[in-house]
Amino acid sequence: MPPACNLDMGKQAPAVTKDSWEKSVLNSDAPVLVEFYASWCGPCRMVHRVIDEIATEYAGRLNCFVLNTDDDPQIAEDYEIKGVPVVFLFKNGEKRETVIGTMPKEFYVAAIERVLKL
Amino acid sequence: MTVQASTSFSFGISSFAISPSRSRLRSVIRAQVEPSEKSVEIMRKFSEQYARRSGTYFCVDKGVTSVVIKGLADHKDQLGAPLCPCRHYDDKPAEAGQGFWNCPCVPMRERKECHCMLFLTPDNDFAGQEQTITLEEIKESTANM
Repeated sequence: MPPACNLDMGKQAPAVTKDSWEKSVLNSDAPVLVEFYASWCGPCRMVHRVIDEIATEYAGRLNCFVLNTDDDPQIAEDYEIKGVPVVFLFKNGEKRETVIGTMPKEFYVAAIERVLKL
Repeated sequence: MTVQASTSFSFGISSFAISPSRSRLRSVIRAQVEPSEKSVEIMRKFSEQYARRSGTYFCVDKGVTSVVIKGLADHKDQLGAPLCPCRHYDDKPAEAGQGFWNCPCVPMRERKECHCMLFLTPDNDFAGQEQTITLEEIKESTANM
């Protein structure tokens, strides 16, 4: 078997799946960030790196996860994911912010700050 | 919970030998499948030619370019068409047959929009200055994946 390929998956932002979605995202006390990505999506790697930094910087205030749409098509379809990367921010189980595409870190930070102030 | 095998992929026994609850493990094993070198080379050459023809440039981070080229090659192997690897599809074979998101996709051909960041216009913050990429570069930058 060749070595595992996981697109530089974040050491900070763990994977969320269909099984853990309700507990980790919908029922979370803290706001939640989820980055949707696909296995061979090049720009998703850049967003992973930003989300990993954010996960460290906002530890305790924001829970960050990544979701592979190839492995979890049900969640991807429930949320009508088309282009990846896309980042959703949830508070009290509701989606409050969406950042589409590959954006500079400030865009993600600004969206997070808006959600934290809600 | 069931194994949500993506409709178009049949990667061999390894995909089926895993417990449905181990989705993280599943994702790792699934992603181990590499596209054929032949398809990678076809998509590499296509990318160079299309960048020149469209006046666009590769990403300053050629790791991005490399992963996308491999993703196109993977779809070419699996579906017979280089479907964009930066989208989620409910039905990949149907999308590949329809053709809108086959590379170069309609938004790229009409408006030079490539959200996969393979072909970037010079004004894009992420655009580099190169329109070439070698097979070695692709191998090197995806070696630790």
